Amino acid sequence: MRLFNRILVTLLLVAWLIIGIFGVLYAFRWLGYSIYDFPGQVRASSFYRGTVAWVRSIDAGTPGPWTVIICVALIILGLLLLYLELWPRRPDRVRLGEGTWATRRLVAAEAVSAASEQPDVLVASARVKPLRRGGAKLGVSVSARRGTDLAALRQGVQEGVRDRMEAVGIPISGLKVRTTQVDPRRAEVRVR
Amino acid sequence: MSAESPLQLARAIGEAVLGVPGVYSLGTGRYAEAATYGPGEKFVGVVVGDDAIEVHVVAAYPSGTPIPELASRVRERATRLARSKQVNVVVDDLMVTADEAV
Repeated sequence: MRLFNRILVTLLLVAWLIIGIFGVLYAFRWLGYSIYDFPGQVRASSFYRGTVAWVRSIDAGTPGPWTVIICVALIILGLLLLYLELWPRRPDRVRLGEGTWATRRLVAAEAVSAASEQPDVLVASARVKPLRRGGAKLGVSVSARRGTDLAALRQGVQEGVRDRMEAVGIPISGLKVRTTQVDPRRAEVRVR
Repeated sequence: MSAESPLQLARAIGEAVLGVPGVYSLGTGRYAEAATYGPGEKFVGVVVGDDAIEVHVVAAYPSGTPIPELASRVRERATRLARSKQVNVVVDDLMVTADEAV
């Protein structure tokens, strides 16, 4: 995940540039600017008072409960943003080998097709989770009519999907099959 | 053979790849259009970048060829034209072409 995109970085650098220019003007007293006049020019006296009071309360070891809560929340938020920024993105395609990829849609469609070949399956769907090391994790959900032997169906779907993926050449690291029983009249496909 | 512009290179690679047995057509990409753009025209299915070339294909099913093997044949065909750029192959979809198309 990349939170700090080009627009944000551009705005940050522009702000940095402006601060730098004014820093130089104030530091060398160019164009009549003096660092002593800065708080007055930005009308920061009220802000200063609040800030000084807050810093003194921290220094004295008597921060208010809301101060502690906000500081902890900011620390957690900062760590979370840092984690999201540094953690590499999950691939959105399934890597089959060096420089070879398949779309998640393709893998899901193959899994659904293989699962639907089982005689008792009314409806099938699949979720694909590409792995960074290559291959994918598959979650297949199938529905069958009431009274179906779900354990046998699960095993049949697992074998069918694994065989199809092996034949097509898609490496699968984990395959979970979820079975449910439905009323055939409510199934989204024609009952066989 | 050496193509002049990225668009011509994309077109040459696309035509070469379509001749690989098991390739049904060139793919179009999933979220963004996979294409190489030139002045007033584009070629969909091959993305020619500065360092790498991405070839999107739709594989025929059943072709009897596993996808990684098909991809390596596509890469081999594309690499001949790729001017030492890295070739990545993306299989966008499978197209049922035989009796299974009910």
